[in-house]
Amino acid sequence: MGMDIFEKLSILAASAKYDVACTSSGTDQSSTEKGSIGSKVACGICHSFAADGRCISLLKVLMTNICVYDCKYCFNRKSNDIKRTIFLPEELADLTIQFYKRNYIEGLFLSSGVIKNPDYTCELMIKTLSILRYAHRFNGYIHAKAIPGADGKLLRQLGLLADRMSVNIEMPSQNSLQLLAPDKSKESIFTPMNFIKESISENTRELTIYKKAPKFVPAGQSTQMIIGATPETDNQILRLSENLYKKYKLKRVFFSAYAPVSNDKLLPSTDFKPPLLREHRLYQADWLMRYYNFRADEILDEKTPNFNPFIDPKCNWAVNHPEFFPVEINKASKEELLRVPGIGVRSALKIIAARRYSSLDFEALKKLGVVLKRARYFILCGGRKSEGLIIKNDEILKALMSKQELAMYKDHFLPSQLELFRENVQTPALLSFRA
Amino acid sequence: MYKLQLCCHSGLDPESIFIEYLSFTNISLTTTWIPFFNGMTKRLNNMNNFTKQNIIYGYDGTFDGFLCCAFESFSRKEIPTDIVSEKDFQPSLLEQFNIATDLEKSGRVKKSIREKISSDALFFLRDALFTNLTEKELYMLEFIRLGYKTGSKIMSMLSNDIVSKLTKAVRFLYNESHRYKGFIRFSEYGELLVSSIKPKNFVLPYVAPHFSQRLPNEKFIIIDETNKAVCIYEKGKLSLFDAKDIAIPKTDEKEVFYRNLWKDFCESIAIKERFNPKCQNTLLPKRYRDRMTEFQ
Repeated sequence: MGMDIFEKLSILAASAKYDVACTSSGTDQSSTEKGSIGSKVACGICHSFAADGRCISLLKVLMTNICVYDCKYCFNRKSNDIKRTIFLPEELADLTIQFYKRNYIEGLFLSSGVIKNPDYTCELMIKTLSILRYAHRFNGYIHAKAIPGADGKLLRQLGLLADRMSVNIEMPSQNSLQLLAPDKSKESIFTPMNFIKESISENTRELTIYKKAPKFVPAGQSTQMIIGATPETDNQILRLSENLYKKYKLKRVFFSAYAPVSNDKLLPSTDFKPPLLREHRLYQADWLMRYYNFRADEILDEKTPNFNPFIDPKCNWAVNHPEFFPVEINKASKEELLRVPGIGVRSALKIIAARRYSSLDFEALKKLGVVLKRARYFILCGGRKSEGLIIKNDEILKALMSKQELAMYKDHFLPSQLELFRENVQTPALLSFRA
Repeated sequence: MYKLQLCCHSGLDPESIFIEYLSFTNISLTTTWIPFFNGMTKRLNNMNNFTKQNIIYGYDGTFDGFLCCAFESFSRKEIPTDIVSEKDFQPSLLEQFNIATDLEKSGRVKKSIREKISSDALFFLRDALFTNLTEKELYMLEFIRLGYKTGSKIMSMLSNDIVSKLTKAVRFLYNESHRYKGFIRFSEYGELLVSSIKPKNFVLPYVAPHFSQRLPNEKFIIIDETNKAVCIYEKGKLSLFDAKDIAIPKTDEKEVFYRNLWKDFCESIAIKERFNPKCQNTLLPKRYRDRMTEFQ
């Protein structure tokens, strides 16, 4: 293939752009060993932001966009008429080092179309990572995609070279998967996912016995699914991700709003707009589950299977649970503080530290970084409400919604319908607050 | 070749900052409990006799220099109108008292802060001096005075004005340092990697050790245009210098080649249906961009 590196990189980066994960977090390591290059920082580092606002942290490319599969939602499907190319392992390893030295990236994110068969593809990836790790002594971050259907031995080799691995579950249900990815089965996805999970826990045991045992996927595994191409509800998606966290001990579940790549009858039409707000709500809910001790069934249930588009899931929970409020700032536990809209993890910890020395008032909360605009409706300081608090529907909605949400809300509802909507979010319940 | 004019900072031991920083990162950040000294109460009562004086303290801009100002303030029982570093000094009608840096005096203040407040407080003050907070020295002096009264809990007194102001400034310093770890771009000149930055705070002591871990076997320099300083890493050693007139040579073909590859990559990776420049601006403020390859 006589293609120059510029064209190759453009093609194989553009083909990889639908993979969401670009995090470089989860592991900490540095080495001053002679001839080595690279370090890892647990919090991860963003090196740039693309025009779509997404973080660029890793050199995210495909090994090749040649693929024997024909998944309908995929840009690289066999039947799509696009230019195909493949990186040479040496070429890609060298490019990674050159970018890394200039501080463009934190490491490499390597995925691939399936060329010939899963094993062959996996071997190509292993070769690239081996050159990086052994020839270049590269200690930076590597995220490798497990190729479904590849041999366990190969996955193990890949996992020993990578910091994080991921298997995309692609679709939020088995039906959708069968329909849109006829070449992939539920088993072909969950088998490698389970294999990685088992290998990680085995490796943890090894490491307790022998500190220098080689590390298998030290930054854990993640997955992603496409949102909006198929009919699943938000509730189903949230339940699924909760299960994935529990059952497969995933570090992250990513959501990817479907952007049209095909005019197949089974998929939304090509003028379909990616459901970005929905994706945003899913991430907010995901955050609530991972950092705020929310359960999926507290956020959504069978009766309300989809997110309220106008208000974020935490505020939505708060206005629907007036019995929980008001919360006394000077006494509440961390868990209770975390339920208050406008109080995040950091400000909750600050409140707990600061109130040990003096009782906190509203002025003090402001200094601690609490968003009083939202929080004031839900809290008491030393038994007192915020001064001048107006408990009126309009005021509360204005406080709980962002400018955009409010504009969208006013656009969406005619004045007569406003009343209806108010009942939906149960703001009148707030009126029953007693302080 | 590389034309560098360097001169060592008069009052500052170039490496001490880094050594202090590195040892700092190994210390766990839990607040140590300091036993309350009986004799302290008496001394604390005297602190209320401090008077405000129309006087400006001048110092050399170093942390030790600042601690000597604190030493003078305590021994003269006065609060100066301002404390200014030599670099920022502007002629004024007020009386100016130039305080020479005396490591013995600063050592005594360090010891007393460690004992009566906490080691965390000492590191916190050192960080505060690197921020761009206006009149930071006066806030820091107030912080020490308050800390002597309250002891180690001062670090948690976030509802206090002085503590909150300094904490925010230090947080800004940390945030900016973290951003620079990602946003710095190096260009290769032969074997040397060169980068220049224009930060708001003095971020070099926080950013440079990160790169020495990341590129342990390379040679690199980072030029800080705001603070006219440059940090050099070579053979496992970091050093910091004052710098004037640094001429960066022209880039060669190989460098231009990789720059262009990177620009292409950044363009290819964006999804056009999700175009969102507002989000991009929030996460990557424009002031960083003029030195970033992909925006040039």
